[in-house]
Amino acid sequence: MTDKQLILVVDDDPDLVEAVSMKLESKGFRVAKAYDGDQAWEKIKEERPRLLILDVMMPNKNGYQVCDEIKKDPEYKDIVVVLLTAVGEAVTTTRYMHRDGITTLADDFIPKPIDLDRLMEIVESYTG
Amino acid sequence: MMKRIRIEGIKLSDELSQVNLLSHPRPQESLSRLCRILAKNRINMPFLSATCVGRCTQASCCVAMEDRAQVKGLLDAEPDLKGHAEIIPSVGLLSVFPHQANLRILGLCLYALGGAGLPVRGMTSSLAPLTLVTDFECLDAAVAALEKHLELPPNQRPIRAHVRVKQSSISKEGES
Repeated sequence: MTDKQLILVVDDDPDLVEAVSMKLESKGFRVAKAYDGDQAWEKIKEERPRLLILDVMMPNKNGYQVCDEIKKDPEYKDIVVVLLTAVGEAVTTTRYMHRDGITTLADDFIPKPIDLDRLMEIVESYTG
Repeated sequence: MMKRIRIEGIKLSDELSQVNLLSHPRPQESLSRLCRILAKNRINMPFLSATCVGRCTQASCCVAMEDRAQVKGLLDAEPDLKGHAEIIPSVGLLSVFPHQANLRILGLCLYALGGAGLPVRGMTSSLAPLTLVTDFECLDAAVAALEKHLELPPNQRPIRAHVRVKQSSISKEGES
């Protein structure tokens, strides 16, 4: 039972945000939307989502930075972060080391292009 | 003062070049041919629009600025397309989202850009955004014109893309 938990979808592609939001709403979730890392932080502070679906490559502040900041912040570190990554097939762990030196511990990841049914399984596994 | 329509965002592209297919005797074949050529050379199309009225099809696409010279060379080398393709060197995409299937937003965008004397070189809609093509140097003026009619969320400015997708030559095992 999802009990209208709030999911924040963050991607700079409005079509992807819309498609994922529609799927989440059809499953009974409430959805907040953001289109870059800065907006994501605004929504996190305003609405305190249960879970973030977070794109990696975005303007202003990328998904790795946002994830890293969330997980280091005692107030927000319990928010589940699912990264959307184009390199998912090559990754076997949710800990990434990036060229900018940031190590990110996301809770889960899903490769792009997204399998929406698989994404819903992941979301429900953390919110059920 | 007309009340502005609230939207969630405006996204601006990098500088692109637009390829228009013109007056080809077999327009649908020409679009298909163009797509195959670009795909074979791993050239991305951030924008593709095709209009079909009766037997007449008009198509245009945009490619990254850095791919323009290669695309021109490929078109010139293709006998079936040579002379039927026009390249506009410097354009940009302006995407307003979400359109919510609201024709008033479409009307206001065209009214705003037309009123400001800005060119609209193409237009399309997808699931969330309404995308307009204008001259790259006009993007900021286009945003200013649109903001007279469309209201962004507080403290939010248009998103400028800084991520460019390149087709890689990596293939999975078993693929040719």
